[in-house]
Amino acid sequence: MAKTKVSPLETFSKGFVKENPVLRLVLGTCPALAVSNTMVSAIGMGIATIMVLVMTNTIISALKKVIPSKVRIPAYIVIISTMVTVVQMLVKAFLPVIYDALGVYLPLITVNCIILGRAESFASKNSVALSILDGLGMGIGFLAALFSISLIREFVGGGTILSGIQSLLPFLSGSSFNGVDVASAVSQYTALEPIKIFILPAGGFMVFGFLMALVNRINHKKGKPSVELGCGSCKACDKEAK
Amino acid sequence: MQKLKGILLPTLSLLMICLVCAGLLAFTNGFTKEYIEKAEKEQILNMLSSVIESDRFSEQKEYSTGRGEPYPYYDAFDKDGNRIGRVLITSTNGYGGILRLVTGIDAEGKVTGLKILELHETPGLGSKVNSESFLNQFKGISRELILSKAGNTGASLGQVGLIDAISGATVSSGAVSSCVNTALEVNALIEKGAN
Repeated sequence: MAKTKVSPLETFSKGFVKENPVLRLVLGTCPALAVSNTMVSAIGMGIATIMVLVMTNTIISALKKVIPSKVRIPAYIVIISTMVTVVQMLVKAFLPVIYDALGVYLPLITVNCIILGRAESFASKNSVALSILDGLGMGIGFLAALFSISLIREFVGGGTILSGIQSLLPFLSGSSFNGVDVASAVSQYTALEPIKIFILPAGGFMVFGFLMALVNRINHKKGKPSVELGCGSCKACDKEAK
Repeated sequence: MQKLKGILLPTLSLLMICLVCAGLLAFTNGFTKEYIEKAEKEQILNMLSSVIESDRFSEQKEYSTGRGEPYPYYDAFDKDGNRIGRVLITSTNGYGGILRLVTGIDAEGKVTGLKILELHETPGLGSKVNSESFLNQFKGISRELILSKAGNTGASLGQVGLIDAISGATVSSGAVSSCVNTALEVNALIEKGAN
């Protein structure tokens, strides 16, 4: 990945569809499935992950010459967990409702494979500017994947869209908009009920599979080669190849 | 010498990274501490005033019945400083895990309101206990509750203290009722102790 010349734009945009971390690289699926039953917590998780990813990518890329390769993994973990804890404290202080909704999954960003994966396979080999772009792009890809999964799950399974959005965007609290309750509007005319399985874990897996197939199809149509699964681009494998 | 460098260099750089990170954490902690405390206090106040109308609440107190964990509670006062009620936090096992509830009880021992703090019931079934129509049934009740299922509803029997269970969620409905019962019991015990 790093050997071929890649334009900054490509670095930024590859995380959206071509190398979407969740739907293509199948990284970070645990938080992606766990918090995607409501859109508000999915968006909160996505934003928190973008913040952590950009911060860790920047720091690790800036320190790549200083960190000896023997202790690079512990060094990365220390940096990542520090950044996660910083974000966690900030969320707890300023968005307590989101903090409650994300629960244990916020501290678990530490072990989100996307963060360590980008640190190891991109930030440790590229310039700070490119690493920030990569972090932003991958983070937005993660947010987009969570957004799509949660949109389908909340709409089909709960009958609402963006329910409780005021807790995420406090400036909305004066207005009357607090998500769209489609189900109660529809139930006045018909006996349609939301399909509850979609907000349960099983439905999460189903939606995840459908979206993965869709993204694969898009990439296939564009004639892009399928992404190699696994850690083909990380330092450890590079060394073995030499 | 070369070997020593190979050991020392990684150790020292890791130590440096850890030190810097610890410093950063300490700084963030100091900066966010008061905001976190403020947010937590606000959350507790919101929770308390959602179950009973009051001008002031006491600090958290605890009452131990001698068995199990002590029950946290808050006294509620009006603006003249008279005690007008009490807010109790009770919990029990629901269908999907622990269910925690705050109950507001006025000076006459009547339930003024409920709010669910922690709920792990099945979404779409047991989670329906967290609805206004179910929780409002408990308002004004002062005696032990009986849970009724479809057919002999509380309204049709004209009895106070009979709660309509949510269909498909008997266990969850029962868990809420039992939390309220415990709160009423504990409240009576505190009253007895106070007089």
